[in-house]
Amino acid sequence: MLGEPQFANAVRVHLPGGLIGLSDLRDFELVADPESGPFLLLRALEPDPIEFVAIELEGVIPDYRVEIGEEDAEELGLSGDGSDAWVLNIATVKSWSPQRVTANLVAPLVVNRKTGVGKQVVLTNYQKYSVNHPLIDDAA
Amino acid sequence: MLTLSRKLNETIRIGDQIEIRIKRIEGDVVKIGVVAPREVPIVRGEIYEAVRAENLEALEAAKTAKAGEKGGLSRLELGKLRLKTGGPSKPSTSQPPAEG
Repeated sequence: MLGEPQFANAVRVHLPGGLIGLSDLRDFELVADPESGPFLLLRALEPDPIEFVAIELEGVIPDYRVEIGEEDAEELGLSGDGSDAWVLNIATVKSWSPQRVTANLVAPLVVNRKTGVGKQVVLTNYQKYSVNHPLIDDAA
Repeated sequence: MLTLSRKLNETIRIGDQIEIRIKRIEGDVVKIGVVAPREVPIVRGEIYEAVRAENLEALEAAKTAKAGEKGGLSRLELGKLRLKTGGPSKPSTSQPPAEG
């Protein structure tokens, strides 16, 4: 059974379809920390706790446009203006030293803020973006 | 692999809940409609592979961090990630520079 969130500032998120290619990973908690800027901890709770990194890209990549299909919006119960959609991108720490971090812009997690239910959605405008867009590259 | 011939508007059923319909054929492009339960993700094959590979890489990175000396990514370590710019193509207008 899933317990209470481990941190007071954690938010539970359920992805009925799991992550793409990792369909077992359906239940997560997102932990925000003011210290971490736009980065959040994305903790998969089952089968084993695993901590991914997520990022809120709004304001980080100004020209990133999240366009999702009608079916996906409907499935998640999102309103037309997208005001109840929470968009998070999975970030991959390729290396800590030098720091190299990329984000998957093609398939963000789109979560209905009201229900906590989300999905890893392939954007309809995915062709403009990369699955490993560099965010930090200290080696460069 | 099972191979079936289908004409325009004909369908294929996979189990009780999945239907695939040939909606339009134009030269070398075929428009295909898919009806499936919500929990079945429907994604173009090449995109699925790219996203899956990246998810697996993120999983490996997370496992490596977990196996590291601190026994997992802590919120503190997350705080070490500092964005410098908005990205390679355009400088960010809202992100402050990293503290030194």
